[in-house]
Amino acid sequence: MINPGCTEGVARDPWTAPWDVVVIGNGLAGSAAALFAAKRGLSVAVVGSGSQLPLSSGLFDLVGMIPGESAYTTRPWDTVDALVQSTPGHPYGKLGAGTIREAFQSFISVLAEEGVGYQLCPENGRVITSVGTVKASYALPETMMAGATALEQRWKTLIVGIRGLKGFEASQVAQTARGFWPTLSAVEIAPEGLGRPGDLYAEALARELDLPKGRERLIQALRPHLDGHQAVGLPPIIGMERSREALEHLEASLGVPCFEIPGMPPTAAGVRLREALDRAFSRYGVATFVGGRAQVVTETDTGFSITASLRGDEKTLSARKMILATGRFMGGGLVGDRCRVTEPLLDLYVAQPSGREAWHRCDLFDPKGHAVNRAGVESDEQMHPLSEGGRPVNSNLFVAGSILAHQDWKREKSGAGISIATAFRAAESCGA
Amino acid sequence: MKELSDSFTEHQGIMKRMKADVTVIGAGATGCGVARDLALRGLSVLIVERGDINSGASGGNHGLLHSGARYLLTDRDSAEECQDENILLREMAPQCIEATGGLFVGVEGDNENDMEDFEGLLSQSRIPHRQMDVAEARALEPSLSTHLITAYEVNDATVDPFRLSLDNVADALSHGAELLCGTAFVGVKRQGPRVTHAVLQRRSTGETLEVETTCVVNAAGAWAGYVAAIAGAKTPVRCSKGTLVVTDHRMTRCVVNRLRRPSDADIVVPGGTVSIVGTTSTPVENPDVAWPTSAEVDRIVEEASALIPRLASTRMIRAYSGVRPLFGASGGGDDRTVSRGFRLMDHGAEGVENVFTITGGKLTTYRLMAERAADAVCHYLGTGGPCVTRTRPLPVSSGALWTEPGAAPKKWMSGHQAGDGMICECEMVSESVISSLVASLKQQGLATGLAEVGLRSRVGKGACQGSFCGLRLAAWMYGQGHLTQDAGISGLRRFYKERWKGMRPVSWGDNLARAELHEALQCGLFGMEVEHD
Repeated sequence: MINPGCTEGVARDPWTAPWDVVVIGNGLAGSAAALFAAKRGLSVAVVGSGSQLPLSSGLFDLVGMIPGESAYTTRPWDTVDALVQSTPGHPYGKLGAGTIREAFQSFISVLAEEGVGYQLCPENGRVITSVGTVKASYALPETMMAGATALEQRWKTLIVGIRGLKGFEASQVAQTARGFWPTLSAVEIAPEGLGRPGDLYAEALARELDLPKGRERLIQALRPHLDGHQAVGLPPIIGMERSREALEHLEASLGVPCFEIPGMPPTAAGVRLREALDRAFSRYGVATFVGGRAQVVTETDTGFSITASLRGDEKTLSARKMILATGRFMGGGLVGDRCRVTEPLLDLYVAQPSGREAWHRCDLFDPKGHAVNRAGVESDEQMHPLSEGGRPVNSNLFVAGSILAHQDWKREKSGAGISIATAFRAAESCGA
Repeated sequence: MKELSDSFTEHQGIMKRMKADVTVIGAGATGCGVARDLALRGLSVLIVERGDINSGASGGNHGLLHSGARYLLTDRDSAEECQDENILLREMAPQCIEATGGLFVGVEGDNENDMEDFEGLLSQSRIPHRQMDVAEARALEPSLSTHLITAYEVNDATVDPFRLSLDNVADALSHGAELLCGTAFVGVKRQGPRVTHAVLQRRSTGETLEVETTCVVNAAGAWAGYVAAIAGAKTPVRCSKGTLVVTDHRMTRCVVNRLRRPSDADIVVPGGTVSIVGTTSTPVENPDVAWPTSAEVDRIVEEASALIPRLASTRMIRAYSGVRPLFGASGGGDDRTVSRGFRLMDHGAEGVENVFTITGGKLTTYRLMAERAADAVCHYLGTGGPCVTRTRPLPVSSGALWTEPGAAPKKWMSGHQAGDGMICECEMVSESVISSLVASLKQQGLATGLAEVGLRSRVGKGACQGSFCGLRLAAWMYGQGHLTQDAGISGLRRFYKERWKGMRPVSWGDNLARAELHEALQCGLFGMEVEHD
């Protein structure tokens, strides 16, 4: 899929004319970096192999905790400071709270333009997950927002499962959480005409709920179970392109707040996010070259030449500046053999623990986390990647997202924040 | 935490009144075999297992039914025992065995004197064999190294150790035996030289109970020394950790052995749709903390690549370790020189006359070990008939159908009910398979948690190692009422911690991405490292 974009009506040959910025990587950090750069008026192309975004829960974390602590923070900005203090080299330490705030604001305003609303929660919003645990996050999709209030107020809430939808079991949520949320109850419904018989998929259901007919079917099946409940929790299926409309329709018809419960991927919330970002790319004229990977990057007099294999076609782009946002192991931004971790595209220096035995702890859930998760590319405050000697590798090269060293986003619950905020700074540096 | 307590409450009434002729400690292959043997001879048997079926070495080996050829160079008695049992088990337990055949191949650079000795010993033994042209061996197994210098065909086979133990225990139960899993043997009551009661403790609740018993068989494998000590006796057991690696696909049709003295990584054993490569041998003090390490895995990959070069670039699904109970005092020296033969001890000389320990040995000889232990018990008690396991086939049990890699997909492809959802997509384990397992667990009076279902099926053993199917299984079990309250969280935590032991040392290449996704989900989203227990 190639969308060479359009830049202000200027006729340009996408293959030869240099882009102001080429972003390598199409995940959260890469997408955010591309949009931030485009908003600054730069011509931008994204090259990526696809994206792990459909695996995302849809929640945007800033920080949940300092690894090793036993509870989620209610003062995330203080915790950002504490994290920076206790973690030398942490990406947040290179940004400052002002940049991080600005990045979040700017990013959610882009998504809002595409009909995907987010709400920032200065004390971290707490929501129940599909396994019945609590998740705290800084930015909640509007489709999950009522869940935070329902939990906080311990509303008498009905958790609704859909028969045939695997991996979401309403009674699991209700039974697991009943210890701290005694007013939860669960029901499983089988809405007539919704989904095909056999295995149901959340993404397909969400698309059916984009249409009023699909919502009516859900509402009809749900209504008999509503009595006395103050809120309704559903798996993430409330619409795909029209989630706000779907949410409003459900709430108006049922007369109670409704919310989605984040859970097992791939989720509609993740797909919704991916699609919204793709629409934003079109809106801001970001060209996309996806469906393959950047294979070779060479430095040229004017910047970079990037060769990518896109669905079997080899293409070469030239760029004045480049942002590397290729992610970690899942995204292919880092790879590890039996001995060491490397950055495969540019062979950047990767800070890492010595030897595989030190990569992971014996206990999966060890509160201190696994050392390999802090391996990665080091950067300066402008997001230039650094050599082993601590010098910027190239003044036109920037790095953003989870590939960065000295963070453990899975334990800190800082994944989206690091991606969005470092993307913001990298784009800022490209525009400078 | 709460998973085990319900079934125990049901059991309690029975247990309080219960007397057993024989209390068997340990539900590995040997213990399950002893229980079946004794039950078939008409004795009442209680099997006490601290964990679950095959928690120790019986669940941590390569599932090889030895021809015996492996021990020709070092231990001829063991070699002959293996051969005899190999022939017998093919007839008595065909459902557990795949008659793959085996190759012994000599690799350039290995000791050629040993190869010559092997040939001589093989021709003097009763092990069926055939010398093979190296080219023929490579035609048979194209993944073999091009640096072979000699090859022999022998009658090695593979055995599914879980199915074997599950079938043995099921047959024992159908002949009146009782099984208590999650229950530790913690003490005895004695009258003079005789143990009169076994004191047991339920691990989930801490409750203790006493079982009146006339005889105790210690089949605790690597833990036999501890168990003997509790009964007031001594058993010198030397613990030797062996680590193995599971590949993501089957590398060979038959078992491939490297023709040299027993050493690290000299065997590749197919197991259904995968291959198992091993083994290492390291003395360990405490069998409870024997986990596979990265260094062991690297050694296996490097050594075994001399046999099958493609192994160096093959994705490994997981690693695991078992602790061999070798007979003899622990101390210096190479574990490989300690006999793989078994020992039956009566502890009369130490002043305990009705406790027997059966230890050492191998999976291949489990039946013979069981027979000898049961003979001793019957002789001591002056009851029971002769052993019948040489002639009576091991019945197929419904709870043991799903441990073999590839069994569930075969069933699915041969037909399934509409609406039978897929719980584990990697290994194609469907809801109906889990349903039948839960039913058999309930029938045996066992807990119906994630771990119990995991042990008896392929859930969590495929490419995702449970990242997705563990969650789907928990969700489904809540829906069916098999999990209640917050048992799912503690169950998932335990399940994932256990899977992790095997993922960790093979986490390179694509497996790093798998580990990252796993942690992103379980910790990043669900916060499983934070809140519960």
